[in-house]
Amino acid sequence: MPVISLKDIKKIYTLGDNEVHALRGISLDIEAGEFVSIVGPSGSGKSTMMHILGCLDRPTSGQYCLDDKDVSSLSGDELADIRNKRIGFVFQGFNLLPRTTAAENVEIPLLYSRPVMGATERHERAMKALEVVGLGDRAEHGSNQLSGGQQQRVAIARALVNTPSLILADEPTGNLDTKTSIDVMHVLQDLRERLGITIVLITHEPEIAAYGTRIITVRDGAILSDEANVPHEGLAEPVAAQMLG
Amino acid sequence: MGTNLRMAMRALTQNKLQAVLTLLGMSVGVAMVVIVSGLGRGAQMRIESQIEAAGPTRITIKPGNLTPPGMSSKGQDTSFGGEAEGAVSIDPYSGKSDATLNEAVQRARARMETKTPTKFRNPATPLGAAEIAMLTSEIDDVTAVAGSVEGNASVDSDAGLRMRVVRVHGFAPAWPEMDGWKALEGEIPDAASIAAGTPEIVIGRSVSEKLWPGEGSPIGKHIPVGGTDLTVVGVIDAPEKTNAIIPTVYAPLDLAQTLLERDSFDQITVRTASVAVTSKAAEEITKKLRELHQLPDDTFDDFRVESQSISALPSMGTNPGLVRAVHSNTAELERANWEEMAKSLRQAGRTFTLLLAGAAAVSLAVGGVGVMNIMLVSVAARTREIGLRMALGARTNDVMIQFLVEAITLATLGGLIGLALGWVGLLVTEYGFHWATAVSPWMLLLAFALAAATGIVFGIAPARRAARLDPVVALKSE
Repeated sequence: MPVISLKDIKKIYTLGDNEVHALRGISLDIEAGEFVSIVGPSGSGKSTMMHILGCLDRPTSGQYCLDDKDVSSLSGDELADIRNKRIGFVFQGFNLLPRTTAAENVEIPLLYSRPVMGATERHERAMKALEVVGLGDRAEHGSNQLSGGQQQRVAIARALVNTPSLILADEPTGNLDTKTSIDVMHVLQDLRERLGITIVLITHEPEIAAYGTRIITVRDGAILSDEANVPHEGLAEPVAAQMLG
Repeated sequence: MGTNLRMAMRALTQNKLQAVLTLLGMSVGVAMVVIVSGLGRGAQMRIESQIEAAGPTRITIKPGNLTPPGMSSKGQDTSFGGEAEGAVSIDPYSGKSDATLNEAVQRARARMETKTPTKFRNPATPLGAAEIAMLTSEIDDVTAVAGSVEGNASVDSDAGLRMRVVRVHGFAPAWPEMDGWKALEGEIPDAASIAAGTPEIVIGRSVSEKLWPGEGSPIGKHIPVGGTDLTVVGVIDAPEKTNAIIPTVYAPLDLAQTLLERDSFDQITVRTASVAVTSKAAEEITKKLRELHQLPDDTFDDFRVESQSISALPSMGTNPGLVRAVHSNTAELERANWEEMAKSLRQAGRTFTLLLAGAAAVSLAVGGVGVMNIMLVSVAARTREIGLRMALGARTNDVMIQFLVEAITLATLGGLIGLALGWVGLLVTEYGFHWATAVSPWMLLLAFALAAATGIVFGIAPARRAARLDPVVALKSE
């Protein structure tokens, strides 16, 4: 059973008299435990795809099933619940709240889960998630006291904390240097291998996309290629070394 | 809720200066509400007490009903009388038709033509213990009853005093308080010393001068009457009778009745609980007294029931005879006057309060606009945070409540400061400017509730704006 099943997804934006076809009928299935990299130049529609996959936006037409549940026509609040329970987001800009500790940042999704969760349980789960990303000892640090890589790891812990079926990472390394980028990618790979979490990564860097088990190339709102990939751990290092060297 | 509150506090501390300025605006608004309602209430209470003081709460009952004929008043003779009060004199021979005549004249003529059933007068029944008992136990809203007796007594000739006669005024224990006596010197005999039976009296200042000119304090001096040595124990500021050739001495009721060899009262004075019930009580007294005196229906009262203002007229310097002549009309006039005054005073008080309340409402609204402003700024500055929270599963209501709680927190914090400021403001106006103020817990609660309501009213628009953001757009914002 696929975690994600897209059938002929179209997204059309109307800008004045112009219709912009951001997605022109995308169909694809993503199985549990896959690490899918979606690559494409800017304007290719990968951001729109990520918004639809993340239930932040609804497709104009087509069907999107997440965990076998059709989510293409749910109301705003129902989508909010889906995002809360099933999807973990990792953003390019980390999006941590300032003047807030790492643990509190990780707790945010739990604030909105239903039924309501007690403060102690929230804190325990946040601590566990932080330990998974190796930041158990930084839980009480303010978010601005952490390095970029650490901040992104806090964001990953936040994505994890509600045990989602899917982690959506939108250019997670865009604001990081190469070494930290590799570090963050290792964390994501690790999550897939150890916890079996499905990961969808959106990037425009081929080196980063190469960490996935499957690479989907998007161009002009349609899938250009969809290939299995042997994720390389070793390859990234030399690339990094090259860039650093 | 606790989490929401903590989030709100954190958000507010991130924008300290703005938050403090908003708090200031809000607290000034609430302080205004507190001060205004305090002043308004104070003014109204002062007005009420003025009305109370001006209105009659005292009823006097006197035996006998020998008011001159021609006066129209309840229970009194209306079978005589010529032209009515308020009539404009018109010469009946001037040729003017009836239609042009003054309406009052026509009424008077009509009255002269109708036969009023003849009523009979009763001999006066003395007012005694039975009447006191009835007034004390059977009339509602009566707070004090005091009988009094007055009469002349001969001073024993061997006393060496310049006066041979004194007017003895017997007062009931309740009387000094009812009449507002103050002891200028010595003391006024209280219930305990009256019970002890020593012949103690009090006198007015001028009487002291009359009896013992140039001798200073009269305390301890004696006036022998009928073999009893009356000891002066106090000097009071009682109103002196204008025609007091004979010096008046005030003796406890029992003593006075013994001296005057009487067992009835010249007058019984009753105090009612409030102005509002005075006329009702007077009517009830009349009814009950008629029952007590077993007066047949076709007879006049054998007593007079008068309210305070009427009986106060003579001491206001008017000729008592004249006062009696205009008595019945004055009674109505007094009452109407008092009601008019009460009405216009209350009206003025209400207008004053409304005016102030308007000013307070405006300043509260200004405070509210301040809250709205900071909230709108906050929503704009935190659009990305809102987008993030939505992406992480916050529903529309969650976002809405977060910002609403923030606005209410701001408003109620301002409200608390405002309560303190307003209280200080009231103290300043009370002790600094000597304005009447009154604070009630309900009022403070209301002011606080108003602050919270302001937070809701002015916080709802920014909160809705936040809640309606599109997460995709919000996440992209800088």
